[in-house]
Amino acid sequence: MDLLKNLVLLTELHSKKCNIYRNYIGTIFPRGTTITGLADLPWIPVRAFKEFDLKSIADGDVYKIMQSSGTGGVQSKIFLDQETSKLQQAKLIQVFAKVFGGSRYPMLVIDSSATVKDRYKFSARTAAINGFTLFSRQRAFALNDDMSVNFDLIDEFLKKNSGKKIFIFGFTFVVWKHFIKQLVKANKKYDMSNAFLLHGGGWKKLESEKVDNDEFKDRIYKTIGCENVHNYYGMIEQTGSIYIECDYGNLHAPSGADVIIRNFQDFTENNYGEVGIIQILSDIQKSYPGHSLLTEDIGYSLSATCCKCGNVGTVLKVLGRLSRAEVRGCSDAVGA
Amino acid sequence: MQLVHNRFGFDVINEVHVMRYEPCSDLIVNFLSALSKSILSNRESKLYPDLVTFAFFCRRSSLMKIKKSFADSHVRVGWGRALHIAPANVPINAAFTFVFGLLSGNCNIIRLPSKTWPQIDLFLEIYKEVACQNIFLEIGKSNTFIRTTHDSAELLELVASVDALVVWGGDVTVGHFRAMEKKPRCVELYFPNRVSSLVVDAKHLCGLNETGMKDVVNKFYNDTYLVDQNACSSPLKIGWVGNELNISMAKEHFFCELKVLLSNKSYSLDPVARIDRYIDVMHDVDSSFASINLEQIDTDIWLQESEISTNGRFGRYHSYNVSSFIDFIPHLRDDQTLSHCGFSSGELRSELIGTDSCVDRIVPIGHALDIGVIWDGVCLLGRLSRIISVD
Repeated sequence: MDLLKNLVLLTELHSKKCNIYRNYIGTIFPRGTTITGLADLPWIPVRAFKEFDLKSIADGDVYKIMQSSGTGGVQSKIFLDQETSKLQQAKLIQVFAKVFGGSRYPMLVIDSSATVKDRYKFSARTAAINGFTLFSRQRAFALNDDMSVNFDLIDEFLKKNSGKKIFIFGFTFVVWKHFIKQLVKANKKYDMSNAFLLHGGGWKKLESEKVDNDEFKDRIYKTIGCENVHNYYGMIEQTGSIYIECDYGNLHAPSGADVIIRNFQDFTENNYGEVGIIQILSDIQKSYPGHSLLTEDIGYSLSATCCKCGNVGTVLKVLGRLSRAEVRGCSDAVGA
Repeated sequence: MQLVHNRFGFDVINEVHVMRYEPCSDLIVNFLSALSKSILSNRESKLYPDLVTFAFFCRRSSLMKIKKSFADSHVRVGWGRALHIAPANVPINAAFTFVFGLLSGNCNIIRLPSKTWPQIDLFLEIYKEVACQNIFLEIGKSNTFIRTTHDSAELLELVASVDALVVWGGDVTVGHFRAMEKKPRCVELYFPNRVSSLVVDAKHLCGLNETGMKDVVNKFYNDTYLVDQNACSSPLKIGWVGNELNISMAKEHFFCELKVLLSNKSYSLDPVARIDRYIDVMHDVDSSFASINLEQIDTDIWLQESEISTNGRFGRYHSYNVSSFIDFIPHLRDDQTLSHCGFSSGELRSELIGTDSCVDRIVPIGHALDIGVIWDGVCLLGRLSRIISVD
């Protein structure tokens, strides 16, 4: 299996180049463990990128540092050299083309331009918007800086691109809260039947609104007439290797990537259909040890053969995030 | 001053009567003993072992013992108004700190953590009933439980106005409250982060029969897993004393029984805590620049041989094999509680005196979490009361 071979090579590479990684792997996964399957590969918690500078390249080779704002304001730091940065881009193009075709489209971003302008507030949203701009011919922001809908701009954008296939991109909660709900409120409808919408970033912020994917799609169809709506799962720690929802509503692992579900109790591998913690594998992370990461997301996987779309990537069903239960014992009262 | 939260119908803190009682006065003992009875006779209480333990602590016989051991030739009274900052995650300590303040003769304001706990809600309910009885109305009027928003003006004002301040919490909380403005004569008591250890006589363990071993392991469980090994007094380090053969036999037997116990109790850690444990290991290898000898005995029993002292928690222990207790002492420098198995407390205390260890509590295994009027090396009744000297 090529993926396993590539991932073993990456494990060896990072063990050589990244001291913390080597010592951690040496402590948790003792030598002599034979690796016969993906589940045997060493992994690190994705949260490690928030607490440590993990890189396998010399300081002089750092081409870009990607940072994401996380819970509690602690940021993940991802060190990229030119090679890994290129690999990420190539992977993204490959995954995108598989679902939406290989051309570039007029892009309507459901966000404000302030989100990408403010260099000091660099976020996962900024990274995603800029990443997907790869597929744009021209880019327009549908929201004003105060996150209200810029109706005039949308009118103009649609007029200018009438008859063309349009690429709409946004974070799930932004699309819902600041776009669709606002359109409903203003009793405004658009004809974007010619567009496809890609959205990601998770459903957590919509939990209180009890919106699921079906309801989300239904509302979008009713307000902007767009039927071609795709969710994706991905994170800044494995940029490029994203899981895009196929026409049958399933997220598939991209090529050169796979997913393992670990059980909550002893972190051993679960079978298809058993809910557990999501571990993501990807073979393009050369500048930092991010090829095998235990996330704090909950979900289950299914064999690709369960889906009629023909994509051979493992199906991933994301159900939510692990929540931090109250820890027993003495601890700080600050923040209580 | 605005009171953010008060369940007892006493609306404004300024109206709380300031009384200065003699420590362990009859009124106080009668009140606490009535409180104890009410808790123990409440059917719901049985759901909360910590509340029951608290009620046992407040029984008349237990209080009389404390009174007797505290009695000296001096006449003492409380300082006046004492503010207690209860810890966020050991719910019952809110009740204990109240009792320490009350036994010392103070009237008390207890700031509860914002998170609610069912046993604390039940405690408050029972407290209210007892405190509203005519004979105890004085106590009801001079003590109150509050919740404040974090760093609210009200809290700062309150801290600046009290005669005594007791802060339970981690180092961050302690630093925070130390920096606040207080009355020049305010008596301050802080309980910052501490770590603790267990010392085991391997030979003693090897000599135990199955029942004896089960008992030891059960006590160990109560000191550690009961609170996810996350209390200051839960052992983080384990010193195995003896020769190599005995130590390896003792460990094997001990952890074998512990595995069975964890499985029988269906012990389960929060998955996020399990991930924290991996991150903790990463911190350790980061500061030691090397891999660490880590034995993953079971899902939630990790034994680590290293000198690095990040917090052991969630079932990760630092293990030391030593030939005598004296060799373990250098590892006890900053420890709070030393629990032991196969030794006597007195014997260990004699060995510790004259060393640079900071251990201020030596208890048999199974008692690490017991809280008392002497804590962190301080007699709370002594510190929270003052002497009126007469010639």
